[in-house]
Amino acid sequence: MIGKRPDPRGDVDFEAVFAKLYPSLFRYLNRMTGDADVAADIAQEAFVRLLRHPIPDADARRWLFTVATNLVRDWARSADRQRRLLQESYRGPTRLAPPDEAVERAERIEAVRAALAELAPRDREILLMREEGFRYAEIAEVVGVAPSSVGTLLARALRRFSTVYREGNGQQDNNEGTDEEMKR
Amino acid sequence: MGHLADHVLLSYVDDELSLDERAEVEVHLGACEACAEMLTGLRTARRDLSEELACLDVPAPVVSASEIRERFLSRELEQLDTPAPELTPDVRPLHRRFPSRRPLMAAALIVILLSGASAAIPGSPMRDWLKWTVERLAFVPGTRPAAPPADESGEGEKASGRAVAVSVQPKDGLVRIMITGAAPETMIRLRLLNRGPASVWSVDGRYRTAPGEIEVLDAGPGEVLVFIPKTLPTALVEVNGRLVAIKEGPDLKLLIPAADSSDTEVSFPAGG
Repeated sequence: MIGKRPDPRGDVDFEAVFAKLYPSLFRYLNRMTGDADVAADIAQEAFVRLLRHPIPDADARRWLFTVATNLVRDWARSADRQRRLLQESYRGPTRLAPPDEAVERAERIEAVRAALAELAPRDREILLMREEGFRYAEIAEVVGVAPSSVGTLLARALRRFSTVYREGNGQQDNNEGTDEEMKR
Repeated sequence: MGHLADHVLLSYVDDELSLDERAEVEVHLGACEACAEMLTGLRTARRDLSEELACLDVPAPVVSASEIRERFLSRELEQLDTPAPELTPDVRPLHRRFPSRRPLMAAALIVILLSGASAAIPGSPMRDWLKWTVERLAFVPGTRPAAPPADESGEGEKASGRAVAVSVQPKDGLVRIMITGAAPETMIRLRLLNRGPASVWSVDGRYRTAPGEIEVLDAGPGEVLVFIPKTLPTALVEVNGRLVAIKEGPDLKLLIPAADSSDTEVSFPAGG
């Protein structure tokens, strides 16, 4: 005789989680690696792993970003890749821009990439995760730092990014005042 | 009056301060022009950062959740097909493995040859012993070991671990899988890759559930029934950690041979 048991219900809506989080995870990874193909591969690998480890929907975002961040670290481990990281030429956009606009855009992208590349990997992770809307406590968990230090690290990363970006974008003279304020 | 640190102001911008801390910062900002200017600078830097990063963005490659699920399933099946690692054979020549055994082997060869010659002489003890041994082992009718039965039970499929698709007509909207002969300590796990109801029935199991997962410990003895709604696209059934069945769309793929299969139910032994 077979005993009847309660009817436990699965609670993972993979389609909904994927639709909600894939664009954000891809954007984060693309900004982090500077390589859209690598970003897509890592994002999809993280979702494949999510299927192996079903977790509550509420935790899926933090879990995916943790896995993806670790995969980026693995990917970037070799010295060659580390050097290439964020310094590759930009692969978009598809629209054919007028020459001046295209040059200006390319220079801007180059300056952003250079500024990100100047950050320590951990600071870059923190900065980009905050841009994806993570709270400090979540960032601390993913990156592996004390929650109380996230604000300090984030402020340092933001300051460093702003300085390098302005230098690369030829805005040093116009913004020295603001920079001094941030350095205080 | 000291100034506020930039990380405190950034935490204020990011709404990461407690109500008390926030109130303190606001009181200070009302009285300190330098900190108020710095707050403006941080807000500008934050806004500029978002705009500057946006210029790196490209459209995400189009991929569907179904493709991700297919990749996951094919990887699960690949793992089943991966043979166990073989022991590395020792390919050194015999004389190098046993460098001091060569004279011994020569002596053994001489003994064998002499024994063979002795066995050729009718009535010799060696001939009698050889005859007795051969009869005991193989050539006397009735004592010969039975040949392995022909492979009609699907054991070959079992050994290869390949999936076998079977057709099960859902009854009352449910695909029914019966696992028979479960030992008391059998562990059954049902993993669901989509939201939906499913159930596992056992005589006296201990149930553990997590989102997308039903685990039954000590599921035996006897029969365990797994019910998966036909509308649930993907579900995986594991017995003692081994993947035994995958429901993928309308198909039910069995990774071990079914003991019995009717229109409405498929069953297989827990031991596989």
